[in-house]
Amino acid sequence: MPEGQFHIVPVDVTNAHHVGTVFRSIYGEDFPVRDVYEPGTLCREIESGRLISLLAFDMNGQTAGYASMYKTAPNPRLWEAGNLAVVPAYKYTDISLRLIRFLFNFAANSITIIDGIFVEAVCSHYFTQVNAVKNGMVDCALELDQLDGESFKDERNNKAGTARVSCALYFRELTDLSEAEFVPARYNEILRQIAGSLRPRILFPSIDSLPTDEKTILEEKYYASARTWKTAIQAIGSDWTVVVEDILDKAGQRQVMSLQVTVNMACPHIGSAVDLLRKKGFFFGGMFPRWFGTDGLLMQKLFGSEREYEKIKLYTPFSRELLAFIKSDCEAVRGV
Amino acid sequence: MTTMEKVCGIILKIKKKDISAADLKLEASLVDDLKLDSLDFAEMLVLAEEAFSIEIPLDDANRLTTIGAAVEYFDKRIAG
Repeated sequence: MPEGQFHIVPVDVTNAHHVGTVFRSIYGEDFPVRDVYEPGTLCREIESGRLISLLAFDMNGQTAGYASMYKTAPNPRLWEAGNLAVVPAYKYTDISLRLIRFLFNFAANSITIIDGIFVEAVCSHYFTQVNAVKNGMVDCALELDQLDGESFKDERNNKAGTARVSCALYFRELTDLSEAEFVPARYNEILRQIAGSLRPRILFPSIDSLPTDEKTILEEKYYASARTWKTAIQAIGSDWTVVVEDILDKAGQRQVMSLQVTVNMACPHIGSAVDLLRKKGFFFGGMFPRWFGTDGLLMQKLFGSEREYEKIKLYTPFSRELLAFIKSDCEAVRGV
Repeated sequence: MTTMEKVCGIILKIKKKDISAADLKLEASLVDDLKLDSLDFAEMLVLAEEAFSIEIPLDDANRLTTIGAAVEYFDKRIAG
C-alpha cells in the first residue's frame, strides 16, 4: 500500500465545504447522512461538541478523504467512529489508515471525558475490522442484517452479495466501570468472555423477577432507509410485557427488517426481561459496552429472509465464535 | 507450497475477476499492475496472516509493494 503525502486537519468553518466534495465523489448526492453536504450543520455540530471530524488533503490541496466521530449512544461520553470516506483517486494509497489513526489520537487528546470509542464495521469486507483490531479495539457484538446492501453505491462494499449487511461492533474502553452489573444465566459465559477483553467488571447473576412498580424507560432510533430500529432500555418496569408487545406492533407497521433491543445490564431484572424477549423471537447479539454508562446487552430479531451466515466476513477467531453462539441461540429461539 | 505460490494464491483469490495467473510476476506492482486498493490490502492481510500463521502490523502493508517484495517480507517473517 503506497505511502502518500497528505495533510490532515480538523474540519472548521474555512474548509467544511470540502466534506461534501469527498462524499459527492463516491455517492453523488445520495449519502444517507445528509449533514456531510451541509457545511453550516457540520460546523454547528462541531461547535456543540457532538462531532469531531477531519479532512485529508494531498500536497496540491486536493481533497482526499474524511473521517469523523460522533455521539449516537444514550451515554454522551461514548463516541462512534465512522463515515470514513476516501476520494476514489486516492483509494490505492494508505490515506484511510492514516485518517483512522489520526482520528483516534486527535480524539484522545481533545476530548476530556470519554468512556470509550466504538466502530460498527460492515462484515461484507475486512477493512474496518482489521483497522479496528490493529488500533486496539475488541469485538463485542454482531448486529445481523443491520444495513440494506442496496444502499452501498460501491458494489465492492457488498461483495458478499447479500441483500442485508451485518455489522460487528468493536470497542475501545477508556475509563473504568465501577457499578456492578447483572447477567442472565443463559448468557453468563459468553458475556464474561466479551467482558474479559475489556476493563475489569463486577458481574452478578440476574435472579430477580420483573419489577412490580417502576415504568420502563426507553430511547429509540429508527433508520428508515435501512429499515433498522434500535431501542435502548435504560430501565425495566412492571409494564415490560406491554412495552415489548408495543415494540413488535410498531416494528410490523414500520416494516422493520432488523429490530434491536439493548437492555441496560445495571438492571437486576435483566434475566427475566431477556426471557420474555426470547419468547418473542429475540436472540443474543452481544454486549454494547458502556452504552448507558453501564453496559448494554443486545438482543435482536430479524424479519427478512434466511440468514446467510457463511457470507459474513469476520476477522478475529472470537468474532467467529460469537457468530456461532448467536446462530445457535437464534435457532434455539426459533425451535429449529 | 512455496511462499511465492501462497502469495499468488492469495492475490488470485482477491482479484479473481480482474487478473489471470499470467499477471503474477515477481516484479508486478500490487497497486499499479494488479490494482489492489485499500479493501484488497485488508483482505490480503487477513488471508496472509492465516496462511503464514503470523500477525502483520498495519504499517508493514507499506512494504508490500510488489509480489517479490511481499514474498521477501513473508519469508523474513517466517524465518523469525
